[in-house]
Amino acid sequence: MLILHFLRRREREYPVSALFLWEGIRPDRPHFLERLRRRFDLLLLLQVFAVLLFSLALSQPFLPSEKPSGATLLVLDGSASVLREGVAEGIVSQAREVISRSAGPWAILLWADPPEILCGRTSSAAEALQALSRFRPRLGRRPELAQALALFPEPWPRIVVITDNPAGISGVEVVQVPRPENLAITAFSVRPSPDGTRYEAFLRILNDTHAYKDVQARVRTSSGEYWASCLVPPQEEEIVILPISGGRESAFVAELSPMDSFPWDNVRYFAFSGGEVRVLWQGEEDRYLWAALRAAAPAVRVPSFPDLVVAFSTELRENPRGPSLLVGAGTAGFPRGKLREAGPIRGEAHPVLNHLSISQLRVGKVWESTIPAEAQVVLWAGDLPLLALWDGPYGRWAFFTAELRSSNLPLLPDFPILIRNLLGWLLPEEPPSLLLVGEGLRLPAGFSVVVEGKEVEGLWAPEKPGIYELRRPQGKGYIAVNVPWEASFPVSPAAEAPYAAALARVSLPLWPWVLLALLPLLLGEAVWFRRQGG
Amino acid sequence: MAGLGGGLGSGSAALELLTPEELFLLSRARVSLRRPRGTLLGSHLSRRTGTSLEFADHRPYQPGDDLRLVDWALFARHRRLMTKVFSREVEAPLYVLLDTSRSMALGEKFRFSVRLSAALCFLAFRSGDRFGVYPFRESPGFLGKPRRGRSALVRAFSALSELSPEGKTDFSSLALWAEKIREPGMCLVLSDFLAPGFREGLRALRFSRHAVAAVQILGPADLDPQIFGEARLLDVEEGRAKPLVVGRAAQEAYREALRRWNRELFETCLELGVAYFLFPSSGSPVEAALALARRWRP
Repeated sequence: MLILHFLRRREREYPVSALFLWEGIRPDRPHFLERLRRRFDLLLLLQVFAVLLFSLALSQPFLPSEKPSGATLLVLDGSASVLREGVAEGIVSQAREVISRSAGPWAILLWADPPEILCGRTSSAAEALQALSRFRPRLGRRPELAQALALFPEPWPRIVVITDNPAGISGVEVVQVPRPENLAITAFSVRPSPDGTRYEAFLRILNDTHAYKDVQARVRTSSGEYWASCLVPPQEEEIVILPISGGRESAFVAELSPMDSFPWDNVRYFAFSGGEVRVLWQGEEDRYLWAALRAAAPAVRVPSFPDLVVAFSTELRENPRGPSLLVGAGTAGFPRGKLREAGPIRGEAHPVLNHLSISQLRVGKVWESTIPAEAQVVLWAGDLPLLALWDGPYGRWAFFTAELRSSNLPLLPDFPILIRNLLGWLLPEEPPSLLLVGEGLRLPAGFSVVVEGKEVEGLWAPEKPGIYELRRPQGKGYIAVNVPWEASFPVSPAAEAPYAAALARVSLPLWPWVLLALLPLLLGEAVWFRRQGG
Repeated sequence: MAGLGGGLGSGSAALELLTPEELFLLSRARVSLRRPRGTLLGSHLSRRTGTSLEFADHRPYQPGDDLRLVDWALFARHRRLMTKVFSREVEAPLYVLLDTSRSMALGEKFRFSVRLSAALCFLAFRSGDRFGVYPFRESPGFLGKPRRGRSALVRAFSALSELSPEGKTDFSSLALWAEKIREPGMCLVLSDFLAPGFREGLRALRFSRHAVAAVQILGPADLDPQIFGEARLLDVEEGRAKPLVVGRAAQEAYREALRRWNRELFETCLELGVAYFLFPSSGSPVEAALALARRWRP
């Protein structure tokens, strides 16, 4: 076309009035660019461009692009913390984006307790997107990731976890969704005062915002309400101790105002165990430990035939028979050894540590106790066991090797909780009085829980927080159910570097777009042709 | 204005050539000549004596003079009989010689010259003079006598409307025309003068005692041709072609050749006592006619 054009346009004809004026003029050699400009023809340019586009379309071009390769398993965090305002929407939005940017196939897993498959392996993006509408976070905690992934036993080239809390997740791709600001009660317990005349409520209030917050804490009992106010600095926690007067109480409700985007942790519940625990106390007296015991269960002291032996800061001549709690104490078979400086505290995953904030715990000195080899150490102070559990021939023993007077534990709200947990392990026949949403409980024979007016027996997993009535042969008791405490904790940053998904080259066909671009070009060419007079 | 156009015949060629506004402008112009060449009585004062109301001079009384022309006031003062002499009013015939060769078709030159001819005829009509349009190329196209009056104007406009550029320019046809039209008058030669032989043509007109003006009309393509690159130059009259690569230097050389040609034309006019005017065809023909009426006073 260009050759034809230049052949045709080699000499343009110009009519002149007087050719004799041009006679004798020497041929000129105009500048190349000027000549080119003179020869510029928009119609030719459009024609060339149209032919080029058509040739391009015929060659069926494609745009090389890179997309995450292989099948993608989307794990959507469905724990209680996701119920904060906007977090669930953020997770769904991120899931949509992951689906649209990956090649598929996909599967979607709800990471909650229990985990749930929202969408099986599918190659249809529409089906996967439709499954996202079934995403409903729950008020419980999330199990271990491996436990959730066990629902899809086949290997997945790409696993994307979308969560608001990436702590403890490793080896997979993590998409973090931001959380809104939050005010929360991160610990709540009640104990009788050491003199037995009243109760003391312990509340730990977290201000997970960027401003000082003037908050009001209220504790309700069957006999009245008790108020306290405090100013909590941003990103810090404050402990509020609230004296509660009155008669014997079994259930307590703590409320925090103002409410925020996550109201579930603004209300917390606490209940004493209903059954009486007969305690044989040995060794030195400690009113804090006794108060914590009484907070965990209606404990009474007996000289013989106890349900529980408590030894505090002593060396027992004989090994106690039956469940025993040894606090800074040793026995004939397992002496407590020497007092040593405590190292940094770390915990193992065990129900005894439920609801506890280990990072708040400070211990100065630890007894170098002899622990049975079969005992399970759940808390360490450096290289020394701090808390060990042993289910031995004499019954269940709990070794707490800390020198309690060198620890802040007696002053923490965690202390009664720890004692309650320990009692729950030492005396398994007594249902615990504190549960988390989704935490399963096997009720002993003759025990039942009243849920929405109906009695539930056998296996019970609470679905909502609150105070539940426990019916048992000895009488009525209460079980306090809370949303998981860790749902309120601030997000700790991901420990590992972001996990990059493997990318694969994909080809996006371009020829339809090229053909589409050809249409207006041809139209413009026709218009220009007509404008030039055909 | 409507009267002007209507008087020339509504819907006629007049309105095609000149708009009512242009006719109004022309009607307000006055043509004054220094030495009109006409012989018949007209509206232009001539240097010859005659019978107009314009006093010209005194001369001694001669027997036979009309006693009514004796200046008795002068006689009372000086005791000498003097006769009053008056100027003579004559007409000034207008000959519009219009080049209708094919070269005039380039660059609106022909359209310009036709409209200029119409405007000049209208000026002559308003002055009460006789006028005629004489197209010429290889030979004179019309050899009739000039006429005056409205009907002549209508005829002239009709003739102008029917003209079309054809053929080649030949200025020797002006000599043929001058032999036929012997009554002296004002000759306006409207042409691009881009042909040899104009000297002979103009000289023939001058020798016929006409007051001659060479009105050169050039188009943009003549003055500044937009030719660039490899071009095939085609002479519209002769049909000859010349291939040429035209650049800036060639363009400049052409402009220099045109300047030389026009200088030669101007010097010829100067030598022959012919007035010379140059109008670009991109201008207004009415403005050109008014400029001629103002600046050319033969």
